Amino acid sequence: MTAARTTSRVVTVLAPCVTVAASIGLWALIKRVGNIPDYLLPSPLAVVEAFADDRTRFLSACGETALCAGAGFAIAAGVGVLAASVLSLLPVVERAVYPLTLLFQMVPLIAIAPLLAVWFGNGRPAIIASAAIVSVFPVIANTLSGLRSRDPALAELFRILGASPVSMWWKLALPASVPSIVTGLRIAAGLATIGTISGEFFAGIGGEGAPLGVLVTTDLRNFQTARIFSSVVLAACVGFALFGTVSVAGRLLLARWMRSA
Amino acid sequence: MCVAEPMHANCRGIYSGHKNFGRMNSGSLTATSLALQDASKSFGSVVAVERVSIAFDRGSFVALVGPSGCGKTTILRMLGGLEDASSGQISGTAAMRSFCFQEPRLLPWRSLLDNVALPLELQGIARRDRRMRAAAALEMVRLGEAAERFPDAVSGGMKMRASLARALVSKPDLLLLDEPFGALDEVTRHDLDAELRQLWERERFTAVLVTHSIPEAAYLAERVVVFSPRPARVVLDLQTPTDPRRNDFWTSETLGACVRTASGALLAAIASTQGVAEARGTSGEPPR
Repeated sequence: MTAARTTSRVVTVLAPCVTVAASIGLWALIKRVGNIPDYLLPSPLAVVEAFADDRTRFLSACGETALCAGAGFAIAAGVGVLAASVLSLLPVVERAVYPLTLLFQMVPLIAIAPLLAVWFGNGRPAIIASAAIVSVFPVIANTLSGLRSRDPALAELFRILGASPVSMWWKLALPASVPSIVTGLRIAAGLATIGTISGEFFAGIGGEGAPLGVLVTTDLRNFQTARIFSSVVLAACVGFALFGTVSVAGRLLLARWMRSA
Repeated sequence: MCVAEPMHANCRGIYSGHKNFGRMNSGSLTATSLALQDASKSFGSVVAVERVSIAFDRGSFVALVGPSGCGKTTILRMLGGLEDASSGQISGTAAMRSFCFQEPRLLPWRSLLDNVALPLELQGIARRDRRMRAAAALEMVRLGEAAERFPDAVSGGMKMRASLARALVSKPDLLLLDEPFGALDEVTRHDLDAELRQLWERERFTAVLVTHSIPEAAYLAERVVVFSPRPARVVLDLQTPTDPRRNDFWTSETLGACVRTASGALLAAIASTQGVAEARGTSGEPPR
């Protein structure tokens, strides 16, 4: 039983690693067999070399991107939970606003990003705003669905006990919707990185502290595809880190919530 | 049958230990505090309750019995202020009322102690004070040891005890019980019935119990009101002695009167229990 469990755990960890290694091998093989030029597809080794040659710059860019993604995510989390709470506490406002927020979600961010640069100027504020705007909607939608799905029997109990709407929200609806909120935050964590990079494309500032998005656009102009690949891998790492942090934090929090329904 | 024995010992303990028999019928305790007068309730075209009049003496334990779906829960909800009467009057609804539902309705993310403290918390009582009172309430239902445990980590009976502690923590004048132990197994149910009876003997709140179990009603209540199938109408209102004679009161005849006036469905469900009571009634034991 224990042995079987250990085996299954090893498979769980090992199987994705094998897939990644196989993909990189396939990539190297295609590059070599197809004799593809470097500006179209660099070899995996060339990507590693490109990173190693300029690692200080890449790492500082990675840090800058991570900072903006984290800040944008944090704003989205706070604003999202708060906005959904206000909507659920004021049904009239919800009727008036919620359909529009769904509609607003359909607006492609890539179309708004240049506007953010106009409004906030180039640099961090516009980039953080971009990250926050993309990631706020799943937080609002999930929080709201969690707040709405509170147990009517418990709501009746709170009413009998004379709870005010605010304590009903704080002591019942909000704790009850923690699982939904965590789901929303996990989606938001992935989107925050996308919003950050898109924001950096339009509002990123070059030079010493340039973020990953700016490195990508600069290297694109110079056909340094290996460097672009490095930036993409690092951007993915930022996304994974944010997603992982939120997932672990969420799991720790849910350990208490998921005890029983 | 075998589960009735410890119950029996329990009951005797309650009766012999109770020193207030003489005071129980004194004026102050029998003053009417809560009453339904010609109260009816309809939901759309469905008449759930029809012209029901019952007066509840303060500090009494009244059981409302009837077939399922007859409207007895609606009556309880009207007494608790959760439903208005469509016509007629509800008077003297106690200021401090508490509910105990069939399900424990505990918050899964709170410990038993914090669950029990919830009513006090919503009243704005300071944390230290409310935790102390909640701990005392848990002690009262013999859950002192489990105060820091979470609802999913305790048995169904313990959850129900915690729910009872939460209902009692704010020292209610009126406790409304809606088949509180109906979902529990027979043994646990008997234990909790005995504890509830002891708590009532000690705290003397007005208790209104909705149940479809006549033996439970007979054991717990001083007065058993039997309702007809929907719409609920009072078909029998039986005052039972509260002194030691109580043990002899519930014989096959009185229990049978209860049972016969209730619906056919209830009759079938109770038939076996009646046999038990009959056997016990002759030897002067409580009906269980």
